[in-house]
Amino acid sequence: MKRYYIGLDGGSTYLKAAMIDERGNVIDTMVRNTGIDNSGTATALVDTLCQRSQITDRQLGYIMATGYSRKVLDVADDDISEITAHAYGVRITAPPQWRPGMIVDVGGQDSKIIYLDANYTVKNFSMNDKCAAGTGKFMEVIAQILETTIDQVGPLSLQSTDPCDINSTCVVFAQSEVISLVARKYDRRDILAGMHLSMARRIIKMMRKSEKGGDVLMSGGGALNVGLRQAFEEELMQDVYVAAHPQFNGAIGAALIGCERG
Amino acid sequence: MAYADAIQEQREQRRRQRFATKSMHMTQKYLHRMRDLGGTLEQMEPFFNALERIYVQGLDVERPRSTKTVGTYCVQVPQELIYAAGARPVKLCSGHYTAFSIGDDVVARDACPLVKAIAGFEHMGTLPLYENCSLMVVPITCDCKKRIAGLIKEKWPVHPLYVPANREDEDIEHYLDDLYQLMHMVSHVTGQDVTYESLANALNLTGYAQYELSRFLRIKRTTPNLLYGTHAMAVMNASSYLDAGVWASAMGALNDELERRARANELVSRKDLPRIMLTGSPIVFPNLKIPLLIEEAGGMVVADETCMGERGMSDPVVPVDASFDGLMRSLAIRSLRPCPCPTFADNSQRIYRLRQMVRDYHVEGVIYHVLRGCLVYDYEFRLVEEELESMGIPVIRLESDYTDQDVEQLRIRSEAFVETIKLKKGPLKANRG
Amino acid sequence: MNKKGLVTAIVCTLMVFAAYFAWQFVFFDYETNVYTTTAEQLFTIDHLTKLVPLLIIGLLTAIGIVACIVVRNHLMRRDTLRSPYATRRAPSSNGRVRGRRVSAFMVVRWICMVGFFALMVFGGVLLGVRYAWISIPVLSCPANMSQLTEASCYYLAHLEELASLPLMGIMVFVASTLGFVLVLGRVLCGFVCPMGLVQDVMHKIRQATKVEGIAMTERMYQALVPIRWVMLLLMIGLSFVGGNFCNFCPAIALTPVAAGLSVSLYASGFLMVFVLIASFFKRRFFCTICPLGYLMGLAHRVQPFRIKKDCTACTECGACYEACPMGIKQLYTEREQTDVTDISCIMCGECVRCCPEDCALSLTLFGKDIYVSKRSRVVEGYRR
Repeated sequence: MKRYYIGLDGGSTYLKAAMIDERGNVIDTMVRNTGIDNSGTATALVDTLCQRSQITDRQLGYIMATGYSRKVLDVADDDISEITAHAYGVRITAPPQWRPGMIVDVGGQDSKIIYLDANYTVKNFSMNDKCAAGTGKFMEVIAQILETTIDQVGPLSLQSTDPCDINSTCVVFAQSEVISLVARKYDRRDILAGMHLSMARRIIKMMRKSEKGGDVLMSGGGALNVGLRQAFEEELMQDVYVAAHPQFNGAIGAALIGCERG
Repeated sequence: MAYADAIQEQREQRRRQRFATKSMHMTQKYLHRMRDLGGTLEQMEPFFNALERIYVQGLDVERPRSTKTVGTYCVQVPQELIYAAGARPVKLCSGHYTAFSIGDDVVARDACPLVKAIAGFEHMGTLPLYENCSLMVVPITCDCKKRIAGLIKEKWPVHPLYVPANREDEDIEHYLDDLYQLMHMVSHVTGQDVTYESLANALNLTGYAQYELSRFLRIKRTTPNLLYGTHAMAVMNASSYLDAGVWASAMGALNDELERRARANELVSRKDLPRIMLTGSPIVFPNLKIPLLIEEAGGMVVADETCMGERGMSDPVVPVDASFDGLMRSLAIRSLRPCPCPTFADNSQRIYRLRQMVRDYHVEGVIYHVLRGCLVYDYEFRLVEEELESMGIPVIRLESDYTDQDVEQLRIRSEAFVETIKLKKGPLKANRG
Repeated sequence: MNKKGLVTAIVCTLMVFAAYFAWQFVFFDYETNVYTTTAEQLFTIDHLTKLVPLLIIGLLTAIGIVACIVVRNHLMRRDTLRSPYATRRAPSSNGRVRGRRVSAFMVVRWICMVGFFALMVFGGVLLGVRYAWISIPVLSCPANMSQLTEASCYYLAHLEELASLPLMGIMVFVASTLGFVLVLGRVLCGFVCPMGLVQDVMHKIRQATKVEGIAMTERMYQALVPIRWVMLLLMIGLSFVGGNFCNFCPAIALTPVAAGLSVSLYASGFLMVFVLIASFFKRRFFCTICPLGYLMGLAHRVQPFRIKKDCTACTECGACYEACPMGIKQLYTEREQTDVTDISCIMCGECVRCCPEDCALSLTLFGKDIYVSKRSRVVEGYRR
């Protein structure tokens, strides 16, 4: 009888769920707004996933939770930190050519860099969970000012010919700076390109130059942003890979850990 | 005008009252968290009581009326000299969050929180531990200590102790002169002369404390998981507020109990928990945030290389020559030579200390604790990281401040680090159930 | 040339002068010198009268020590910082730092020193044996021709006499001396040499009376090096220029006199007084300049007694350096090598005794630990 495992990634805005089978294939993914009731949303996600793939209770193995709210999700059997979850996730989601090195996770409200060795073991990690610069929040705020959506910022920025310099490090001040750039009639695409460069630089500042070896892999919601990927490639001067199902990398990793538990 | 002054005085009174209540609550919170960890022994009560007495009940250290207290601010001050002059030394480096929030406005913005907390207590004047001191001996080690020596002069007589940056023979000689000067000063304050007998008795007193500490550390080494590292650190911290003899005999009782439990294999946690060593900036009660987080996250703080914990007292005085000068000399060399404090220009010996501790305690991971603003410890992080890496021991740098607002961020890092070590050892076991 | 260099140069010159003209400085003269004794003569009144030179030396030493203390106190008068404490002593045994336990190693060492002294001075005579073919390189002065064995220092100081011996004699001497040097090295200094015993006794007297000694620094040890070279030069070379080292060497004032022989003392007597006073204030002072000791130290790389160090366990506290009578700094500064046996090391074991870290220092024989540093040794005595 085939067994299935579910991983839950409870962020502050979105709750992500992923289902994998015992081979490590990703069967299904789902995301919902967290809302006020974390636990309820999680339970609903699990039920919906099972329904969609017609998985019975007996077939369901471990349910593993990660993320900010991991300890309060009642439906989960156990919890694990996001660092470990993301490190496991890339075993499934990373493209085959990627040599284990650095995972750059750009989430909604935080960003992390996880350093792996050749065996996918976590060597070290850096986190920015104090300020919104370099996170999805930054992109959201700027997208709103420029009257576009978060899905469009990437493709639009690729069309830029002369990126602006965004100086402010803080989201609140960057907001004012962007407004003034708009008023001075700068092209939206150039502003977006500048924003992506600023984000990339911000995150790269967290990187430890001593941790070399392997390639860079993007995960998290920010990985869907082609503009951000381009900015990273430009600043780091090397190829940047993108994980499959990047927003669900944490959930997939959690599910994989659950799978190992049996 | 007098009326306005009276109003102002009342306002100040209420402010002090609020401060005292708030700091009391803060201390209680950490005492509760410490006890909630589990695994506390009856023999630890004398130490917890000492901490409670100072910070919750707001009383002075327990001492005879006639004995004066002398505040010290770094391990380089030999406590033996203070005992020899008939006074009681108290270590006044502070770990209090509430005092920190006051001191934050008084001293430099980027100063370390330890010194801000000292400034806070000085400013508010509510804690008898500080208020009743007859003398403050401040070693001039790092910049912050240097400036706090000047600041607290407003309230207390301050004797700066010049600690040399190097440890050559000439530096020892100079420091020895400074120790004689310190002895004069303390004698002057207490009115009691230092005799050979009083100095020898002081050495015997602290020697007794060191004997019990050596025993404690040996017990911890041979039988891990006998007690939580948080409790061990609290017990060692308590030595700041107890007479050395009282502390030593309480330690003796604790050691006896621990030995009994070791024989009966009564441990407080599983033996396979990740063995973590804490090193870096001082961890002073009630700032037990980091060891608590590590142990709540499923790790075990088996060793600490911090000056208010193990490292502060672990080097014994070795009297080589029986003359008075010989005893003084042995105090001088003990205070300087083996001290792996990063305020010395060349502190490469700290690496060997860490290596030995990794070996002794079978450490699996190191958490390098840096207080925000503590540059000297931060300087050494690279060196320590390289060394540990060459030994295959993972290490992360945790920076913290005297506030509860960074707890979640520290928690996620501690948990992830503990998991990293667990994963190295094998597939992860369950957290819940 | 700086001040220290000048002082050293003057001292060396004085030494050469005193050594060459040693016979001019008469300390205690006998009309005829008697170099042997018999068992019946031991412990008689006659024996006691022969101890007079030693008594005079002792008296002069005592006067010298007291004089030095008085002068030092006077000079320190103006140092208001330290002088009030300089004369502090414990009124009774109550004011004693407890600390260290007695070491079996130290007991053995003292027994060896005292035992050998007794053996050489009285043993040969009482047992009626003499193994003249054995030459031990210690300062058990061969002027005592009744002692149990020969001592190498005579022939080393009179090389042309050695050369005039039959080949067999030379070979026996060389083999015996070399044998002891290669097998025991400077363990002989720490466990056997009578001059060592007498210096250790002076040190113990100072410890018991709590008198302040002289704290040596690295520079001061370095200043002694030229003096050691001069001693070596004098020992080897004096006979070639018509001098007699034995009239200068202080050892002649010890074992032969103690045995009750009538041996005239020249500059050697004065030097003995100086050596005793110096070793009161600085432990084993003579050993730092002893030419015989230096020669034995040359074998420090091959002989099987070694001081081993665990550089990780070492906390660089420097207690070993403070305790070492020879001032060997590399004991605590060494960070890589595990073998810290030095050319000056007399294997007294003080470093191991004072070391507060477990297994940081150890005295080994053929790699096996004989004496290992232990924390408990340093702190156990404080237990209540």
